[in-house]
Amino acid sequence: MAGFGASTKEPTSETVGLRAMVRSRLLPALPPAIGRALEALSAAGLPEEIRLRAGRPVEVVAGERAGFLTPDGRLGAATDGAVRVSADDVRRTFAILTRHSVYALEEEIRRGYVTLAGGIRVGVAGEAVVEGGRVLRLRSIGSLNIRLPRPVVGAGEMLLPYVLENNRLLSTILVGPPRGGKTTVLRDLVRLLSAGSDRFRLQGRRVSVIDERSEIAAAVDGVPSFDVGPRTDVLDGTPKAEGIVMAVRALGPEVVAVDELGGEADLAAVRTALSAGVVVLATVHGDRPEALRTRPAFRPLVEAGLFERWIVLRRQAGGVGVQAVYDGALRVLWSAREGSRKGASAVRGGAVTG
Amino acid sequence: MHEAWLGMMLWALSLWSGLAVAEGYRMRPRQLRALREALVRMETEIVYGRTALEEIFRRLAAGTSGPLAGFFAEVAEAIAGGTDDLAPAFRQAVERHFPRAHLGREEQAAVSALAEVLGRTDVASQIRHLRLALSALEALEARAREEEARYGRLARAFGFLFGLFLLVLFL
Repeated sequence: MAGFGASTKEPTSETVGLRAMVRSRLLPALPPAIGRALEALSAAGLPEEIRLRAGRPVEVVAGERAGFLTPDGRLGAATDGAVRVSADDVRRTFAILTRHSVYALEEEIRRGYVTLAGGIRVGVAGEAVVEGGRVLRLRSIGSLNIRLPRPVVGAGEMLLPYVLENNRLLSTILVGPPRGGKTTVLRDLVRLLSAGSDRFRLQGRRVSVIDERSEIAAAVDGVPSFDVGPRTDVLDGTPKAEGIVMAVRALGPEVVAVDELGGEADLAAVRTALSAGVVVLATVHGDRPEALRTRPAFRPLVEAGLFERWIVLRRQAGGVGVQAVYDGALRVLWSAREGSRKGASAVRGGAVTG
Repeated sequence: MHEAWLGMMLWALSLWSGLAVAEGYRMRPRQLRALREALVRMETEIVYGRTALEEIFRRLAAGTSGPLAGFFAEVAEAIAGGTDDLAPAFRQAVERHFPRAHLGREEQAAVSALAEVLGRTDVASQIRHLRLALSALEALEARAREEEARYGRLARAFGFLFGLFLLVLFL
């Protein structure tokens, strides 16, 4: 099933762009010692996560490698000899990353993360100022979790056979664990659907992306940091339910893409979109295919029968792969586990028909 | 004959000094007013535009003239240059440009108080600190206007008369 993986390893124009972005935007924001160590580390592959914790060693995740960063750019399990950051380092890094304009990112910081140009996401933790049980703001920032976007080239192509049936696009939910690459896959699918493809005889479609957490398009000042296709409108920072209705009413989309579908309001908005003849692509958190049936959070989604395809994703060596594909009634159409045994026929009988 | 020339020169010098002092009294309230207007614009940009600080300072530099424009431009440059601590750069810019705008130590202190706060906190707190600076500047401006009315003409007259006195002395 080699063809079902999408690789992050190939040096593509996107990874080259990411490398340039890291060099121009991220490294200058970090304390020089960390910048140097990261530069050395990046030679073997870009980091995905850089964790700065005040008064403690720097932790880095880069592909399968993870550990504390040493001054010469290696990752180890030992905290001794690792590069450390002070509280002041964290404050300064945050100041540069936010361009000395914390007030402009107030809402995002309250939610726990900020999205920066180039799709860099920074999770923040610190001392909260609470009023009436609600986080009013963070007084001091103690930890930064800097996440770099992972371009997964070919993720859209990988899913295309499952979401198309006789050239008709199916409303689809992508299921995966946190950090499992759902958003990345959704983004690439959006790009592909929006651009169209001669190879797949796919006509470009008008897509509206409801990007409540600025993760899909990572738009900064209205311009998407990621390639989301030429026919894509991005409703940046718009709450999902409201955004779906706004898009359907105002933008005339053929496809609406939304990340991390959740509450009743979201489902109602999805119903509105579907009844208007709009195809909905969405993601939800989930780790195992079985969870689709048993987890209460999924029940309304399944029972509502709003979606025609459920695709469970998994992380695999160097990228994202498909774990299993279900139809709207959660019947297995294809699964990686059974793939070697009866996968071929299941695919033929299920998703890959048009 | 030489004495007459010397006397004339001293008179001109004294007259010029008087005018320069008077000009300081005249300019100070005007610069204070321009500064206050700029800070009000800054507040608007922060509250309604959520505009990034660098962009705000650029716009203020474009919207003002003279030493104040230089001050705003310098802060914008510091941010663009990737400084990791804005406060010292901000204070330095205040110290460099404010004296040229006839703005004294009190004005500098009122604005420098923003150095540790600007861009570092949420909107509500930014507003509070800007208002604080604005009310301080407002009080200073009222006093500057009073001083302009009281001492501005006096300085001109004194420069003229003292020069005349020197002239008479030398003749």
